[in-house]
Amino acid sequence: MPDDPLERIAKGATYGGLEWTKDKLKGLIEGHRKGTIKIVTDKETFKEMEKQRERYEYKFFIQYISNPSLCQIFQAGLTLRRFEQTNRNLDSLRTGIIEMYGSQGLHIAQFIQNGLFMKYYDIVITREKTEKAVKNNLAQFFENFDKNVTFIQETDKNEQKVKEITTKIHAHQPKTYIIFGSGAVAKKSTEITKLVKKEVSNYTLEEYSATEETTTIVKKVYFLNKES
Amino acid sequence: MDNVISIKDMPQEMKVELLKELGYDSDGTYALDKNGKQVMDKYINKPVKIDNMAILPGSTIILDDNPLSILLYLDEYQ
Repeated sequence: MPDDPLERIAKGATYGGLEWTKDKLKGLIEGHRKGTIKIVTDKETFKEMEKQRERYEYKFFIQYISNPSLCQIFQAGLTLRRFEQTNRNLDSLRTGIIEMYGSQGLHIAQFIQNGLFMKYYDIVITREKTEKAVKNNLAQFFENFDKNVTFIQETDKNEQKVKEITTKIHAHQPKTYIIFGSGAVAKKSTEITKLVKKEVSNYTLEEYSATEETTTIVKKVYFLNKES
Repeated sequence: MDNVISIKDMPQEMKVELLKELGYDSDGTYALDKNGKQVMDKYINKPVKIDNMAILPGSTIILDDNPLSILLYLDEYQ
């Protein structure tokens, strides 16, 4: 193999079984200039990102939510879900979401990741009478997300968390308050929710439980719905 | 036809050649613009490394090839 890099390119260098030649490079550049070729490093991720936009769940969401940032966060949430299912590392994407959209953005993405949007939507459409009311409910819900949702962490102290959640509910009187716990904290989230329920007498409780197929992680979500 | 091409296995010198053909350059690690400054990913505002770049249509957009930048590119251009 010649020392000169351009001569190597001219002769064709084989790396990983794929031969990159000057002609191939020319074709790549021409395709890019025509706008027909997308040049990436991680093709699998690119294709995956394209697929997220075609998912019915996303197309359904954007019928109700027009805020561009929320639509982007929704896609990010779907991507987190896909990465989790395929055992890919989530840290880099999570960090990117926080840097771009803040901690509330990450919480929303995790809400989407865990399939909670459609469950919440089911509750909304049984309570709201018109499409406009549904849209307003969803818009308000996501705008005030951190006031309406708690993800239980392993480090949470039950008593403290109960106080925190009940304070939020009494202060903001949300139509629905959601408590979520998965894996090691699923049981803790149940305990906390039961204690919260005792403190908020004008709310009814709905529970959903699921075991993630690929990871076998148990997920528990509780909806505290204000009585009308 | 598959219009997404991976340059993961492209030799380093060829990546530099590719950038030069598109009016850019490289110091061997980062993509550089014609003024010699590091090309910044417009979405996450970080310098783009040639080991992990995406070069996309839309008057040549060079990004760091990470899920969030790709998501935002697709949101803007598709």
